[in-house]
Amino acid sequence: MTNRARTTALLLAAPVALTTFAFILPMVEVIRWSLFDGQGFTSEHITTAVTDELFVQVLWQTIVLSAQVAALCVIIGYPVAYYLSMMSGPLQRLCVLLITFPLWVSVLVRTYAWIVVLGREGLLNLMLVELGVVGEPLKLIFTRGAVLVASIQVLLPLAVLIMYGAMSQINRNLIRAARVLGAPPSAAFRMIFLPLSMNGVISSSVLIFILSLGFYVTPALVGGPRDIMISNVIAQQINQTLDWGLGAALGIVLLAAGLLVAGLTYLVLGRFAATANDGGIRS
Amino acid sequence: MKGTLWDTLGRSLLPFYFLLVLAYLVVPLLIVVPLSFSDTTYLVFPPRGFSWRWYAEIFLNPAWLKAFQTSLLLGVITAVGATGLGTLAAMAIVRFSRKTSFTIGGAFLVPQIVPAVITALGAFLLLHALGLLGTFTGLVIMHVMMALPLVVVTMTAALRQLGESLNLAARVLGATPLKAFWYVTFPAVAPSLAISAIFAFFISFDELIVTLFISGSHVTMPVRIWADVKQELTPVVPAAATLLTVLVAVLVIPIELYRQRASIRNRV
Repeated sequence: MTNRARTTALLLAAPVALTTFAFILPMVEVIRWSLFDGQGFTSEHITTAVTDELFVQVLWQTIVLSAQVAALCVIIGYPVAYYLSMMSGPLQRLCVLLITFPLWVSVLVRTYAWIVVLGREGLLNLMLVELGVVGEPLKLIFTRGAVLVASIQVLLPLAVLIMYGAMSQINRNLIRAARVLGAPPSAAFRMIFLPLSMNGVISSSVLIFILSLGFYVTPALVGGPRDIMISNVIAQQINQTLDWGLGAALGIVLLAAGLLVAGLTYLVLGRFAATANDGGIRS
Repeated sequence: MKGTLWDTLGRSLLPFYFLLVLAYLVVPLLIVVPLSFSDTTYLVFPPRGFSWRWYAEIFLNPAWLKAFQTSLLLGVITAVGATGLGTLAAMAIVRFSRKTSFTIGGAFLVPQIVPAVITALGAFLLLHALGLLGTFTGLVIMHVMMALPLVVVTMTAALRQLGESLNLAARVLGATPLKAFWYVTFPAVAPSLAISAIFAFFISFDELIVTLFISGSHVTMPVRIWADVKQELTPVVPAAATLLTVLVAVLVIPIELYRQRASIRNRV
């Protein structure tokens, strides 16, 4: 071993040890609990996790909600990121700050705000009744819609920032060239800007999807009893039912579902993305 | 150049749309603030009266005060631990060739993309097996692990930008590796170290799910709020929420401004 390699190994030792102990071992524990019981190997937990009607339904509902959150974050966020990338100077810095700031506020606090806004006697109902739009307060909170609205608000900044990052790498001369050659702005956007920004769209949708899969706080606080997500069910297995093997199996199924969908998204959306090789990256 | 109807429409509506989305992101954060100053013992909108009593409650009620202290202590230990370990990792990562360092750096980010509940589940099962469930040590280890990826990213970027030449110059001039680090590398990356530490602090300070699974009797601020959100309907939760938001504003806004300035400087 050379001197340099030894130093590198020394530097890596402590962080790798921590990651192994606090991340890899816990994952091994999850797998162990899901596949083994006191007697040895068992497929019972996994089988229950993928066949029990309730679990399958909750898992499906989690995947659907995560897909909705990811899609809406990207759709709502794309024009925002686009506009942000067109700005410059202090205004741009202020807007980036305003979008980054909520990311640092605890998810719990941000979800709590939605209880205040959407509650039966919350801000929105108060305004609607006061303005005479509705006769009596609407049922806004404890609905699937409330979970969507709050989840999107929690993750939208991330989607915007990732897409903004990708967009600010785009060489604007390419668009100018298209315009000079006679393309109307919409065509220049559709044929140049959109494909070049697709990488940002893909990374943000995959990341948002995976993060949504683990949502725990938001469905529990603003969702109804029928809006529970797989995370809430896993917590229930650990804290109330005390069926840890089943909880672990549900975790494995969730992880597998997440990887599968993320992989598929890459495959499908990746075909639409232009890359640096196409000459789009500012050098 | 003549645009189509869509171009004109898009260009004039985009600013309004942008403001609308900004409001959607920011306004809910501000709404809890007036509630926290309410003089009533129940939550009512619009709030009535004005008082600091719910803030007093947080600092005088032993349960809230203890939670606040636990979170602060845990956050500071996490900040120190994660910044130290993350910097070591970053120093190693920048020593590899570009491609290898990308792979190794990426490996350190994996914990970041695993759904929190799975991390929580794994942490629970492992700490239970080791008899560390409900201990402060267990909490510290897991929080440091969760804060590590962001430190690694921040410090790798800082060290890569600094480059090796300054450090090499110091070594050529006879400094030992430790001296070269202490007198050359450390001062140059000190701002990034501070940023990493503050980010790590907040990752710990805000963490709920993993803590909920493994904390036992060590109640942190988020766990305390979590318990109260469901049961108590006094304005103490808005007060706690406001307190956390203000803390973020005071520490994170200057950092973001600094980072933006730095990134502009590098572009020029």
